[in-house]
Amino acid sequence: MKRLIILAAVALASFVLDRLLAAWLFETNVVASLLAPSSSTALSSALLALTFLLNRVFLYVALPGIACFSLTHLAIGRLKTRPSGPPVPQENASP
Amino acid sequence: MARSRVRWFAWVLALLCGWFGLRVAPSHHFQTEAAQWLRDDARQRQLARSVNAGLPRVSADSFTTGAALFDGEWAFGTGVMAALGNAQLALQSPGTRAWTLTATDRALTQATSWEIRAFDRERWGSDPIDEPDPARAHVAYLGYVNLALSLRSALGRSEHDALGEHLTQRLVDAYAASPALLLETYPGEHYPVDNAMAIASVALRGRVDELRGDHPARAAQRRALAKRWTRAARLRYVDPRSGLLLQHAPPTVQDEPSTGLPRGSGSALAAFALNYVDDELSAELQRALRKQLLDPVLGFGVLQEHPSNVPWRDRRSDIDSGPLLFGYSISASGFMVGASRAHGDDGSFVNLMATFDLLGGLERREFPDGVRRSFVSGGPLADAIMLAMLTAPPHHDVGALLERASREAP
Repeated sequence: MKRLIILAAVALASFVLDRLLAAWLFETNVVASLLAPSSSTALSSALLALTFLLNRVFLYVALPGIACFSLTHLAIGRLKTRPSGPPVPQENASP
Repeated sequence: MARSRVRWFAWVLALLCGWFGLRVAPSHHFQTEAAQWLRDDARQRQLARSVNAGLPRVSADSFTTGAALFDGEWAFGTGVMAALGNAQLALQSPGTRAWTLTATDRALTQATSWEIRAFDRERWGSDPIDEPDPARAHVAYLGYVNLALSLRSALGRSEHDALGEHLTQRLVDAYAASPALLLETYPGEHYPVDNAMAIASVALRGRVDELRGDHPARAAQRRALAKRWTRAARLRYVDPRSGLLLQHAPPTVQDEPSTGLPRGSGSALAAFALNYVDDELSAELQRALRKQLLDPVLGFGVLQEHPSNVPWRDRRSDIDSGPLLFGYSISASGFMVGASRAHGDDGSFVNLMATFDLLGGLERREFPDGVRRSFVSGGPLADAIMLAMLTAPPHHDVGALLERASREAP
């Protein structure tokens, strides 16, 4: 369960980062900066653009795979630990 | 024993589900989105709004490539691609002409301005439009701007007609004086892709004049020149092993391949431009690109810049390919979108557009003039290039579209 909560928190953080960077990039021009990280401004823009790209690959490609793997593993683990067969009724010990 | 088997089963099932989540779900989602670009032109109109709104702010200072020449080329490229994109939208969607023709004219005014053509002037030492020496071809500038001017002329009379006719005749004369049929991009530099743009511009003007019945002999001569060029290019400037265009090739008059390396970005851009030539070279290049370089990664299409017959030591990135990641080129992939659309290769188109949606960060915003879309990680140049590629007309419909435009032209 703890693993699922961490996964959900990571997904949420990644999504928020994606939206924030997309809003910032909509107003700027960074492709040139990616090609010429010579000045400090260009370098910071290039780093932000790179963060945006890597975060999108993580959020939209890697994370669904990780989530599917984790959920399946967790579900099977739950099934394994569940007692098999119907619960046996306890005999009343009192007279 | 039984518990250990169950544990193995759990791992195998979890890994299979993980693989499904990685390989199938994301690409399926992005491909479904990408297919919308083929359904109608609503998204193209939204992208055009974004390009047209940003264009007045574009100048060489907007870019920081580290070289003034490339900053200038990119500012010019943004204007030319914006003009081509708007004109192609007008060609295929007559309902948009009220605003796409105005946008085309504005983009052409910007692309032909004294400031924007400075990059070429500084490299040649003379202005590309006012060049007194006919031997100096200026194909880096003239090839591209003239394709946009020729396409504009197909949509009716405009203030740019005289310039377009003047530049076309200059290119025709320059080819007549070039036995190798390869003009200089910059002094001493010959790029077949830039010549493909120039030839497409000549052929397109010939087709438009022929449809209008203007100067039939001259129109036939221009179309014949384009045919002669494509025949010569197949023998001299296309790599026989990969079927791709040589990027940088010394001119040759022998009908055998020139030296130089085949590349994805140049071949894909040439396939896009040669769509306007009544010849199958564009289709042949597109097929070669798909066979040699298109490589789906987890269901997302990307193009390699170099085919397998190029030695590893020669596989370098440059301003044309853009940054290469594991040999994959964003420029080549972008130009391939246009080539695939032109030749009805919907599978490649959808795979490639899924990548551009993911990595380009395709965003949609509401503005007072309507919805705008933009590839936010690419800036104005990428938006303009993608507009041109996403509005490339189907190759076999070009003749009919030109005829309709000629009939409806004011």
